[in-house]
Amino acid sequence: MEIFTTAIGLILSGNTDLITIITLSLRVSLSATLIAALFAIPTGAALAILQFPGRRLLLVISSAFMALPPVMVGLFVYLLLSRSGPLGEFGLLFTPTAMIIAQTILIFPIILSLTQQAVQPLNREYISLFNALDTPRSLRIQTIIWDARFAVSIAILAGFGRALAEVGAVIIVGGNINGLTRVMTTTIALETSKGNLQLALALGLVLLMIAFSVSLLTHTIARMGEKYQMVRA
Amino acid sequence: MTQLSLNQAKITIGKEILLGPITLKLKLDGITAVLGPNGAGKSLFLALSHGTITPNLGSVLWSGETATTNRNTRGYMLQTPVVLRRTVRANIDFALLSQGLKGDNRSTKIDEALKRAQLMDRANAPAATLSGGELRRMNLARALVTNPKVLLLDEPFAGLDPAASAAMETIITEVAESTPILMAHHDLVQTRRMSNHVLFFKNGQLCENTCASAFFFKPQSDEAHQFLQGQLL
Repeated sequence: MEIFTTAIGLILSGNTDLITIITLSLRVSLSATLIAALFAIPTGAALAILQFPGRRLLLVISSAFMALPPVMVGLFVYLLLSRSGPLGEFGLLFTPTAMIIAQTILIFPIILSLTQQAVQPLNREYISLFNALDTPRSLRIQTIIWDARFAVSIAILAGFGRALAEVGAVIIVGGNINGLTRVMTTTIALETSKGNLQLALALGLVLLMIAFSVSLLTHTIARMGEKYQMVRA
Repeated sequence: MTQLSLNQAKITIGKEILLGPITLKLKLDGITAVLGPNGAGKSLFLALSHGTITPNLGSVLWSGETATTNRNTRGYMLQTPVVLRRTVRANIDFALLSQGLKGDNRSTKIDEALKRAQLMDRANAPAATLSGGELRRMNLARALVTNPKVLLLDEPFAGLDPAASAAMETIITEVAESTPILMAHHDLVQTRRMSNHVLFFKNGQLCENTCASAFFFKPQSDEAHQFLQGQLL
């Protein structure tokens, strides 16, 4: 029990190391979520409404990539950014930018697949109206994204949760450098192995609190959406 | 004058003929009723006329232009109302947006359509909260708001109680004074009261194409005769 009190005390003390780590974690994961969402949402909606050969294959690939192991993504981005890699000249390896790139790749398929699944039934519901009004494609995509906005926000939050919680990718491309690329999950891994359980536990509690907040936000958004749903069949 | 002409138009699935071949030239004025028992091909004929379905054989032309083009110069009311998860006003606005209309005069047009459909007091309600009758009227308003050259109504009275049906009848009759209407329906009494021309279908075949009074007093085909006797219902 004592360890918990120490951990909570650590959080409440406003320890600068702790705050640096939390801020970096949030900065990296929020940036990755924003970038991934910006591309994944329109792509997911387009995949839901457009019919072209190979569409189903793309959907299968994107759902498979939802379970992409973070260490795989880390390794891939490492190879890409390492000195001898194709993007080596930019010197991005072991920087927060590299971590953002890795997390963006990791959660892009998650946001894409969840968006596609959220808007697909809506498109099926709306398509006869779209056809009757001869609605242009771009407006169809905008419409199903907007009308499924609550489900789409949940897709974004799922992506954010995944990004914040993963450790494999950021530890490989970030290198867990103190004060530079050390984030919550990598710190927990390191401190636990060093036996410094108070700090690890304090960070774990912070992660848990963020997870609760995200969940609360998801539920609030879903409830807001209910008002516009069909109340009868 | 709006003219619809079909030349040997036929819809098939595999070897089965669903509709046609139909050849007709029709100058639309007032209300033209598309009559027939369930499964006669009324909805299919309307979709074919609107250009949301293309014929497997033959052609469908509106004043010389193929039906698949300029679809948004016609208003189409679907048999099953499609409800966008937005307010009533936004649902109606969607028809204008589909035409690429931006700018302020949209709101005047929407107000006018709302007034005609007697939905002013429901304008800002989520469309999902409307009653069955209000939903049908919203769909009519959405078809009307673009000032179409012709209106195609697919069973506008389906599922309405006598009061809602009477309200709908008043609105449609009023609209017909300025806009020609092609309307699928199966209620004989109402059709007789409202229409001035009748297209009678059975088993995907156009059996009669005649003025309403002739159809109701002296039907030429056996099928129409039986239908009026209530034998095909």
